[in-house]
Amino acid sequence: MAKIHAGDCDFLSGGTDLLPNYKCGLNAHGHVISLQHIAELKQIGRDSKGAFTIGAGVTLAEIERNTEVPRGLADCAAHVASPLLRASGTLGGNLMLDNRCHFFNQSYFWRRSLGYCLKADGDRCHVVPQINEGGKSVLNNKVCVATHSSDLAPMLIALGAEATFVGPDGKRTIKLNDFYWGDGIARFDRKPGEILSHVTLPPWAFNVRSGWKKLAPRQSIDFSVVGVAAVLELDGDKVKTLRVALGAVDTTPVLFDFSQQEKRREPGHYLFVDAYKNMPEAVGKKLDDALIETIAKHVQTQAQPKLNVPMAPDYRKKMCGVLTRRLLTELRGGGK
Amino acid sequence: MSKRLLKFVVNGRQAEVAVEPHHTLASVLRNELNLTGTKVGCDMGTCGCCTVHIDGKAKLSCLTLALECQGAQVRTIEGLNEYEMHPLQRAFAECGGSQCGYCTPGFIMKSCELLEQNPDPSRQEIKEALAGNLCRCTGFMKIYDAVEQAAGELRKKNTQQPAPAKV
Ligand SMILES: Cc1cc2nc3c(=O)[nH]c(=O)nc-3n(C[C@H](O)[C@H](O)[C@H](O)COP(=O)(O)OP(=O)(O)OC[C@H]3O[C@@H](n4cnc5c(N)ncnc54)[C@H](O)[C@@H]3O)c2cc1C
Ligand code: SF4
Repeated sequence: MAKIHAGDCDFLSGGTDLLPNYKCGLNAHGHVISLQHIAELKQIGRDSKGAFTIGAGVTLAEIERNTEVPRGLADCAAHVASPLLRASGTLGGNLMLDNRCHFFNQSYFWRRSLGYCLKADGDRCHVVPQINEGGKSVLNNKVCVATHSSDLAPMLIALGAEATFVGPDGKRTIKLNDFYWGDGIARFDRKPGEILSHVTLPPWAFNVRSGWKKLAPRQSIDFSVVGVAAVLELDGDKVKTLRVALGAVDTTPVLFDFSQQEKRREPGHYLFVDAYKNMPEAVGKKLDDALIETIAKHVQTQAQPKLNVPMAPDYRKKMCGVLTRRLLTELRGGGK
Repeated sequence: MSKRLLKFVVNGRQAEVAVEPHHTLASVLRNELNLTGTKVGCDMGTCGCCTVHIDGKAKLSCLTLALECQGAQVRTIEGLNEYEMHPLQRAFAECGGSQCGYCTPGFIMKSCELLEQNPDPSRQEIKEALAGNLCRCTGFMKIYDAVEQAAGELRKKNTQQPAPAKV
């Protein structure tokens, strides 16, 4: 069916993101195909080869209650939206959540009064109205910087997860970090008619400490305006593995891989955060307060939140540093 | 778009309705089955007013397509108790947990799920379970009081009526 309607269909999983968007008339397609009754998508646990997989149709409530998943992931799932939304919302929907923006997540009437925007029905961006082209400032009719607000995506990227897709052309597995593109409209590398089948966690994800911190206007219901995921492995008191990933500060999650410097295949648009510019050395060093401070400073300096979700970008930028510091201090002490 | 036949069980009774594929469960319950106890507040998943039980789980009926409930067991506020008030309903009335009353069905359905899973929840557990329901009148304290009172009453009722002996 997805093949027949390729290009004009959307998949429905929990519906907690798709239905609010459709109600606002945001990029609605002619066909909606439900994935809710596919048993294969709802499995969580070790597969026959011993790899830990989480099906795309597993609800956030199930991930939150699962005792085998890394603590950071369970904690992250437990802080998404509200218990009612977590009962329906799924992993697949969370990873493919539409990017958010003040000028986009509004009713049709609201958007019409402003003349719409690039991401739906319009031809300009209200957040970045002008861009630099060939040294000249011109009207921005290309780049959308809508914020990527998924909570699980940065956490799973920090944990090194891989995503497996099934589509009309067969099956493929890619690193979750490579899946996201630096564009608020195209968002990710999903071929027409393809569905996410499951994500797989690497074996090392179960030997490290992991954690999650989120800033949102209210502690429940609201989307993150900053999310910080971190994965830490210590050798004595020295850093062996350290990966920090930010959510809700750019068009994609942003990975700061202090150990391997893992880079995204697709670098993204030029307004994109450069995680590796002037990155401090951390591996092999003692994780004392000074090093935590240096790491937090780096994350804060590179983060570039945009003015398109609640709370001022300056404040959110500062909170990237504050939350990173708090999280690493907590993880150093053994985590929760 | 052509209508489809939806067959499901609502409050213990078999129901058959012809529904548009894009209609939500909330609209079918209210407009086709006249079960207007389920309220629609924000229609966007934020307020929790439209909470119903689908196969025993509290979910938002405004973000559930009606056709997804094919063959499901749905329970609404009307199905909580047929002849007398449910202890939760009585406690909400007695404690002042309901003022304008618009959010009350949602709160009661979510609390009902909580008490079925955990008959003796702490105040923190009640707060966490109800974190997706918004009330703009009571300030929440009276709602938490009501859930505690109902929990006590239900526990008393359950110890007075021992479960029937297994044969
Ligand atoms: C009030 C409110 C607050 C929220 N707060 C948060 C929050 O704090 N953090 C957060 O991360 N999210 C939040 N959400 C968003 C949403 O609830 C969650 O992200 C949820 O996990 C989405 O999952 P779903 O199954 O409901 O997605 P759906 O709405 O079913 O799908 C979302 C998108 O993913 C696609 N999709 C889903 N599954 C697949 C698949 N297997 N293969 C291919 N495509 C697929 C759909 O086509 C659709 O485009 C909030 C939503 C609301 C309404
Ligand atoms: S960033 Fe610009 S183009 Fe993108 S949704 Fe917001 S206003 Fe629209």
